[in-house]
Order: sequence, then structure tokens, then C-alpha cells
Amino acid sequence: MSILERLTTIFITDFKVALSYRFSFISQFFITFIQLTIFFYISKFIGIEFIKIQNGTNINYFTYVVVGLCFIDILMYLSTFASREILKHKASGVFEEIISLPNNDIIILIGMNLYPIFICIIKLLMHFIFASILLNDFLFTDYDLVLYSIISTLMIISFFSISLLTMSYTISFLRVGPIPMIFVFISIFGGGAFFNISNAPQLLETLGNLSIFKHGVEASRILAAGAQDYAYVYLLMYKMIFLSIIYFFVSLFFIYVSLNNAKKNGSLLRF
Amino acid sequence: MLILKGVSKSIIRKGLLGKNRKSVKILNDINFQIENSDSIALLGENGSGKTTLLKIISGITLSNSGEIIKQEAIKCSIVGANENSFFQRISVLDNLRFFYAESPKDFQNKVSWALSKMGIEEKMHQIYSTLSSGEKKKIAIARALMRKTDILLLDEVTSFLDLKSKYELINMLKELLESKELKSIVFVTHNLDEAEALSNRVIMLKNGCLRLDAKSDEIDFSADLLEKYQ
Repeated sequence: MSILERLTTIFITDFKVALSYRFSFISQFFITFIQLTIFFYISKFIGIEFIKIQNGTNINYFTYVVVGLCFIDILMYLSTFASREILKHKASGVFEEIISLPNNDIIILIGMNLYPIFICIIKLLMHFIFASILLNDFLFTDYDLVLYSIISTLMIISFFSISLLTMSYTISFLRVGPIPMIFVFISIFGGGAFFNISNAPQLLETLGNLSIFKHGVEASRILAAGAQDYAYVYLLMYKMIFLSIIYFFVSLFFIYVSLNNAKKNGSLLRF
Repeated sequence: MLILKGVSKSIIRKGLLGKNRKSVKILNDINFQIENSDSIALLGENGSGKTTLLKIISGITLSNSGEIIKQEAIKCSIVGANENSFFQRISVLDNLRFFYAESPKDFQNKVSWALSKMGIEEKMHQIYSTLSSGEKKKIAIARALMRKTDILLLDEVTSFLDLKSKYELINMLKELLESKELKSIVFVTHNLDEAEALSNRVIMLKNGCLRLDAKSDEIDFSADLLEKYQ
């Protein structure tokens, strides 16, 4: 079975398993709508009309929060999904069968992220559509929409790398571990997911600069504000591409090391 | 055909809060070979290293020392007593498709062949969790057959099966060996009748060491067999 055929099979199987839990499959999208509606009315209630973003442009507070909320949502989902699957499969004995397949183990572990990536793309679309309905206006239009799609893709690639890092931790220590929480913490307090971080401590700001999240939300907010500051957006995108490549190779290295150790120890076997 | 040379395996056991780490030897200097048409009964007490040995032969875990020499390209598949090593909420067909290793083009023929060999072709579209224990074991063997397995490693597959299903399974395995669809079988069992019915060789382990390697017709499969060598 070729790599592409193996990846397709893993995706279809994960999709069918998820679809068999009908209620939770549908409700995960319904929750997105409820979340956004609550934030919409809270932002109206607290009465903050506009908030200043990094390049000095004013942006509607709800739009500001929606961008952060959307990326935090997919970061939490994507970075933990495959690790939870590994633990579930280890307990049932499915993982033993998976690693005895003739394809490269790393390809199979990458394949386990395809279904959550697909769900994240749907969640991104949902956020965009629901926010546009609540605002009665499109969040992004024309060229900005194209740039936003590229930014979202880079964000998903980086979250996928975080997922691989989490998987390597899970393979080594048999628990999901702190990696997703560390990245969520850095994204919220150092990356400005929900509030302006101009007064944040220096350490958090430095950590925020090392996370792709900060650059992604900043670029998305500039586009959503319609500021047309494309030079700054491109600069942020270059930083994202650079960090994505580093994240990806670091995570590949860790997953390779943890898989080799686990095979030696037999720690991934059911008993 | 497949030679185990000085295979040893030890694992680190941790105490409470990860303290008192100590190395525990699971297998110690195991030497034997699996020939074509061998049907080996692997006997031994609980914790003697039988399952670990099968997992090392199948390649899903590695030994600490020693080597496994394959004189030709041989595929080994392990089928365990565990019935949960499938996706519970999807059909048998979808499960077999997931674990299938060859080109998807001949999947349909292969799946029909393997399930008909096991006599459960009509269960193809049934959700896996709705099958009986015996049917689940047969699906597990069908999965191994679909991988073009040469050496089938069976880890207590007949446990919890009723007598009829147990002998059906033993007969099917004999047929597979006779028709050369399988080159060899190594099976773990605690049932001496079963060992006598299916094996042509017996290997016994005690505390990770090889205690007996003999032809079945040289052995008296009486109740004191285990006591004699333990």
C-alpha cells in the first residue's frame, strides 16, 4: 500500500469512527455557534466598541476576540486529538497492530492527524460564517480572504507540529502531558488571543514571539480590520513560514527518537 | 527458515512514584529455529515470557540482545487473545481495509478469500462490536492471513471459545498448513489436548529460559507434562 493510499485509509477510518458517535460529531460544530453567540453578546454588554491592534489600527472588539478564539479552539483540538487516540489504541491493543503495518511508523502517526486537521478546517469555516452572520458583514473579502486562508494553513501546520510533539511525549511517558497546555498558555498570555498584550511582561512577549500563534492572529486581525497594511502582513507571514519549518523538523526529530525508544522498551504494547 | 539465536529481553520495572527502578529479565538466551511446516506449541507458566517471545518474533518489540535470522523474506503475524485490537464501531470490512497492507486493488478478493477460509464471509458488513468472541478471533486470523503471512503466531486464541468453535479453529489451522497457505504456526496454549491435536513440536519456557524443545510424538501429553519440566 503506497503512502497516499495508507493516509487515505487512515483518514477514512477515523472519519467513519467519529461519524459513528453521531451526537458528539454534530454537537462539536453546534458548540462553535453557541460560543460565538455568547462572546458576541458579552462584547456588546461590556461596551468596548474598538480595541487598538499592534500596527495602531482600531478593530471591532468582537472581531478581535473571534480571531483569537477560533485559533485557540483549533490549537486545543489539534494538539491533543492524536495523543488521546494513541492512549486509547494502546489500551485496546489497536496500536500494536498499527505499528506492525508495513508502512513507516512516522507516516502512520502523521496520518492520525489528518482527521483532526479536516475538522479544524471545518471549524475555521464555521467561525468565519457564524461571525459574519452575527456581524452582518464578511470578516474578510477578496484578496484579504486569500491571505487569511494562507495564514490559517500556516497556523494548522504549526499546530500539527505541536501535535507531533505532544504525540512524542505521549509515546515516551504514556500521557498527553503538558505540551498543549504550555502552548495554549503562551498563546493566550504571550500571543494576545483574547486581549491586548502591550503591557505583558517581557518574558511572555519573548515567548509569544517564538510562537506562530502571535504572528498569525496579528496578521489576521490586520486583515479583518481592513487596514490594508500588506507589507506588515507579509513580514508576519515570513516569520510564520520560518517558525513552521523549525517546528516541523524539531517535532519530526522528537517523534523519531520517542518511537525508537518505545520500540526498544516495548512500552507501546498492550502489556 | 527462522532462527532465534541467543535472544534475551529485559525491561525496567518502576516502583511507586518512579522510584526503585530495577531491570527484570523476561527472556534469557533463547535459541531455537522454526522450520517450514512446523506447528509449534509454546507452553509455560504465566509470566514465563511466551507472549514477549511471540512479540519479538513478530517484530513489534525488540530484544536487548541476540538476533533473529530470516533465511528468506518471511512475514510473521501475531494474533492475540485480545479481541479489542479492532475499531469497535465500524464494520468488519472497514476494519480489514484499515489493517490491509497490500495494494487496495485486490482487497475485495483477498477479504472474501480470508473470510471464507474462516467460514464467516456473511459477517463482512456487520459492525465489529456486535460479533461473538469466536467470530472476533476468526476475524483476527483472517486479518493475519490477508497480510500474506508465512508464520502465524497465535497467543491463546482458543481461550474462551466453546468446544465446537475451538475444534473448528484447530481444523482450519491444520488445513491452512496442509494447503501451504501458511508455512508455520507457533501457538501459545495452556491446554494440552489442543497442543497434542495441533503441534508437531513442543517448546516449553520457564522463567524466561528454554526448558524443552522436542517433537510432539516423543512427548507424553499427560497431565504431569508441565510439572515434569517446570
